[in-house]
Amino acid sequence: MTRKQKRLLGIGSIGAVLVAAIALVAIALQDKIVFFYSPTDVIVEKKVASGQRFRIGGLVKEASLVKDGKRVSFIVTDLKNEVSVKHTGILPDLFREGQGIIAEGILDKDGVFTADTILAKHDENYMPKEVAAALKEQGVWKDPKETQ
Amino acid sequence: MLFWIVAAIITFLVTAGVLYPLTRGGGTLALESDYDREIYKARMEEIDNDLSIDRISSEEANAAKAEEGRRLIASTQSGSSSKAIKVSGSNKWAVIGSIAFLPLFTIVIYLMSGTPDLPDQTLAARLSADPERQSITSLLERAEVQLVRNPNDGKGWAVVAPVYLRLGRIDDAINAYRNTLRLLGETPVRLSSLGEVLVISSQGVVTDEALDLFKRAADASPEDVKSRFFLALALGQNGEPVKAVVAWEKLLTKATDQAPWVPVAKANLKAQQGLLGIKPTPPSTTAELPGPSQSDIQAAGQMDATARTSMIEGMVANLAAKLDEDPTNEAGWRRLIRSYGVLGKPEEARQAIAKARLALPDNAEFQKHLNEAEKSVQNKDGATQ
Amino acid sequence: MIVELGHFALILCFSLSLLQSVIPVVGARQGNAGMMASGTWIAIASFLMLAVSFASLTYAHVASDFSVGNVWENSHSLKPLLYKYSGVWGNHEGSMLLWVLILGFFAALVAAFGVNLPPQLKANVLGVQGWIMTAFLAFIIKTSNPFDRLQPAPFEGKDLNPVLQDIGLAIHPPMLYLGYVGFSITFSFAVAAMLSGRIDAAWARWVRPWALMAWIFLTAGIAMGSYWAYYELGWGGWWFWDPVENASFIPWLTGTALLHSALVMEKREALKIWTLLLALVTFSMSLLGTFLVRSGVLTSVHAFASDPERGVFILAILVVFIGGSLTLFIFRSSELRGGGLFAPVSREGALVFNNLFLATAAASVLTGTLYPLVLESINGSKISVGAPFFNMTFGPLMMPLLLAIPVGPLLSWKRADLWSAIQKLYFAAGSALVIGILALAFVEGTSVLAALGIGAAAWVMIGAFAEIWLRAGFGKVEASTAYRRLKGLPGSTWGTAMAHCGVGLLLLGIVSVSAFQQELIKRVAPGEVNNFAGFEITFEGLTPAKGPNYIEDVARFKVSGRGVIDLEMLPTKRLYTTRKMPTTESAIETFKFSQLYFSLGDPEPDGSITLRAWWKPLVTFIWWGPVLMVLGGLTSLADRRLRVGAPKRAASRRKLVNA
Repeated sequence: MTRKQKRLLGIGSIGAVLVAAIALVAIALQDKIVFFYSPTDVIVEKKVASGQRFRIGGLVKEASLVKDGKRVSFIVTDLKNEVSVKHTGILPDLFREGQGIIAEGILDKDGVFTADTILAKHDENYMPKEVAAALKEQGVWKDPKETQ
Repeated sequence: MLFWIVAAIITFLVTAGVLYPLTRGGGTLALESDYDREIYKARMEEIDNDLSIDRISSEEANAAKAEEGRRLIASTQSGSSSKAIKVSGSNKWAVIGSIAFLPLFTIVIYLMSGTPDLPDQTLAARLSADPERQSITSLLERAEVQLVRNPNDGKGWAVVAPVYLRLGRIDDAINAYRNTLRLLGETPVRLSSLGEVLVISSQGVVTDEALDLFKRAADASPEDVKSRFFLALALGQNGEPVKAVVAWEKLLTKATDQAPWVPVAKANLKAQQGLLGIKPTPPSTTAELPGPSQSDIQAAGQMDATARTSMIEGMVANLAAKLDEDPTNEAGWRRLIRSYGVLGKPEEARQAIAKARLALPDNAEFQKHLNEAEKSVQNKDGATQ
Repeated sequence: MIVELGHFALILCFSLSLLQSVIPVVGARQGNAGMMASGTWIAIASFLMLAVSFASLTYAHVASDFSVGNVWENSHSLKPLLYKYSGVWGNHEGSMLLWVLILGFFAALVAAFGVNLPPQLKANVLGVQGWIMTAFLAFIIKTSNPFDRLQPAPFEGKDLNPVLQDIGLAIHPPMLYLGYVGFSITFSFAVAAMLSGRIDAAWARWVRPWALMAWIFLTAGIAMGSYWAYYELGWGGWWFWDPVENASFIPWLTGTALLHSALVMEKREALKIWTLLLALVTFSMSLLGTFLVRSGVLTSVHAFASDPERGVFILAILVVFIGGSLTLFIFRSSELRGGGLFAPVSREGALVFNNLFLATAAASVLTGTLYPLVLESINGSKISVGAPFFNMTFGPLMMPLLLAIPVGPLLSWKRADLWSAIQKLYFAAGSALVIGILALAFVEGTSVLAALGIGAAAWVMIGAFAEIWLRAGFGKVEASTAYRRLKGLPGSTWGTAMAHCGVGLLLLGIVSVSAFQQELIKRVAPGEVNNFAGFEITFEGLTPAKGPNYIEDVARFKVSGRGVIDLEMLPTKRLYTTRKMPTTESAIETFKFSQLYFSLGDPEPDGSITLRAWWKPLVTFIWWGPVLMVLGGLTSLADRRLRVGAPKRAASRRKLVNA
């Protein structure tokens, strides 16, 4: 091989790795990301395709939590619309009725959201960012900082 | 002042440290090419070592050495690395700049954001500080910390109780007096103090629990004025004007006119006498309202009369508002009407009676009570006019 | 007064850093020795002032001086003493002060121990450190002053976030910052080189020990952060691809690439532009991480701060430093002459391979971290990019790199024979194959994928020591010769082998936990016995208890099996009374390198509780791996060959100064 060919080979293989990496990232960004929706997005705007994995966020409706051993169900609300959620496992420490949470999973045919992950933030005063934004869109929650 | 002295010393030392290399003269510095030579030497040693343990072949070693050599020549020949270094060039502006800039800039910025006069306020220091120089709230907070740590500290509860009362935190005061009583045992003062806050919390009405406390206090000590005051008040509220007048008169004979409760007692005596149709004794000329009591903790328990009256009036207004919302509360109506009587407000009492009649028309016993109440109001009204 | 002196010292340090930004740099331009030397003194004085400042804030925290707003916000008189200390940096203002303290620490290290550096380079490096310091001190004084006072002082503090009341936290952020901020040195070296225009093999040699030091700290910091999340958050996971974790991981990837490319630059004067770029990018990623964490722009368990003013300020710092350094880079890189030549198959080629994959992996992690932010600002959709994305992109990119680890050190410089290098590794390859097959055959539940993973880990670990074995020539030469050669091997060779072996160990831990982990979620009543993963777990009931600033329910479990009898495990549910905040304290028991992990759900009124138990085989390798990497780094750093002497005249000059 001449020096030029060697150089071409080198640059070619670097290029191939980069192209492969970009392709991987692009595919992963198509398939592996999870969208966040509020109950209104799900029920009124029908943004979710069936079987699509997504995150739903809102407040846990007061008096909606039902526990049966490790199986729990509750209702997530943005104070306009509601979605019932069921989950098997341990709820996070800060999971409480009236508290903002995020659940990740799939919506089934009956409109019940089966969550495999529940997130509540590790700060008493902290409203998950997406939930706060979604509630603000619905005009039912104001950032205490903004109202001051 | 000490702060500024220490700050000045620190600034001085730091400025001196900065100036030291700037003002120092003489000596020589190595050229950059000397540093390159050091690297070359180190690389040569490395290559020799690698060769000695057969890590590289002698061929590779020679090639590497040649490359290092070429590199050394290249770097020493390039302009930058062999440039002479001025050891004592003109540092004047740097020296002057540093001397002027460091202290001035620091102090200006510090004064914009700092509070040089504010001393440290560590918890330990504040806990042991002179109580007289502290505000009541901070004293109270201090005491609260102690009580969280040691909730069985009866003396602590005894200290905070009157402070709560004075700050209008009635529920806390009740709790504190109850704890005092429980932990330190009964004394007439403690019994009647708890009774007093209970009365305040029930909008000026002497409840059964309070009545019991006052009775126990009065039994224990014939000297306890407070319990007798409230017992007299209770008699009036329970529609026993004869006994009430006796009680008030007995109380007033013992009192000096300066005592803060005297005007209230006199007003009550007058009202009860009115109910009985007795002409009130002419008001004492010396019975002017005393000024606000000393703003110290001990005085807090003896809340001055105007304050107490206005507090009671506020509570009565509250009660009236509640009854407007929920007119079926029979006990509430009884209490409201009685309170207006105690406060000497016949017009309001009559209105309340009228409202109560409409609110609970089917309660015969209550209607009878209202009739009696109305009569007594008219009597009293007539008496005062 | 102590608090105000701390405040004063902080501002004095700000003034010093302004001088440090100007005087040494001008001195280097003019060739003025006094002005260059003043950089050394200013850097040390700055660090001392920062130390005074940090000490006084610590004093305020420990003595519960609630007249200091920062103490009031984050402390409580009843807080345990240890957490009064860790509370100093467990909040935004304090952690920023720690950030600059560490920045000052590194500048002072260069000032004090950089005697072998040419004066111009050193002056410029310290000057650039001064720029960074100035920017961040301005940020602190303007937006996040920890010495703001309250008058009158509140009587009781608001308490520190209980999640942060943990011994792991006492060490975690300082370590992370030491690594993060340590790469400021390589950034300063790069900018200094560009200022003077001298970018060559010598520069690489001077910068390498500093890059290695920063890398050691960052590796240790990330590992500790991971362990902290593992046992404190109670989710049983050790890496969450949380944006804040990524923010420290991206600089680690580029920093690791930098260590390898600087080697090429030093030995062969090749890859100069690339190395310079990596030095700039690594610290830029540290700055980006600081921005992501401190601006609260991300939703994350770690992002406690949220204040737009702060975010914009750090963003401005970010733009100025990254933009400025890259602009300078574009101007300078066109002037650079090419370095030594090498064939694609060579040691250099292997290191390029390493850099290619590390940099690509860093870019993919960066993409995944920033994509939600970008997408939201473009069309408002809110998405989360979690483990599935990173497993799909990061995993495949790491695999070729891991497989290449044992091969690289066996290739010779300039041009090498790949086939002969692979042949030398027959032992490692054979053992890896056997281990993989044995795992598949004898360990229950091994999938083919897991067997491949175990084989790969064995390949990396055994292969890591192949170079040492071969260099010593065991089996080919007499034992005494082999021993002599072994002794003659430089520390950096040992360090490389250890660090590479650490990577294999980490891989083994990851594969083992992913493939063999067992999990139990069950509501257990008092007296109930469960069999799980070879253990007999008896729940004895809940006991209430009281700590200094919390109340708790302790769940008592007796565990028997795998060599223990009636071992007590006590996971608890805690309620921190001041903030009314519940937390779960997990219970972890280590069996050699495996762990049994208990976490709890909410207690039920009938005295039962939901138990979540994991059996995690070989999980501790996930942290022993990085420990080995750190030890390898230290071994390499201790290698006298990394150190270059100072020239004689400079040395005698120093004596003159000391006298």
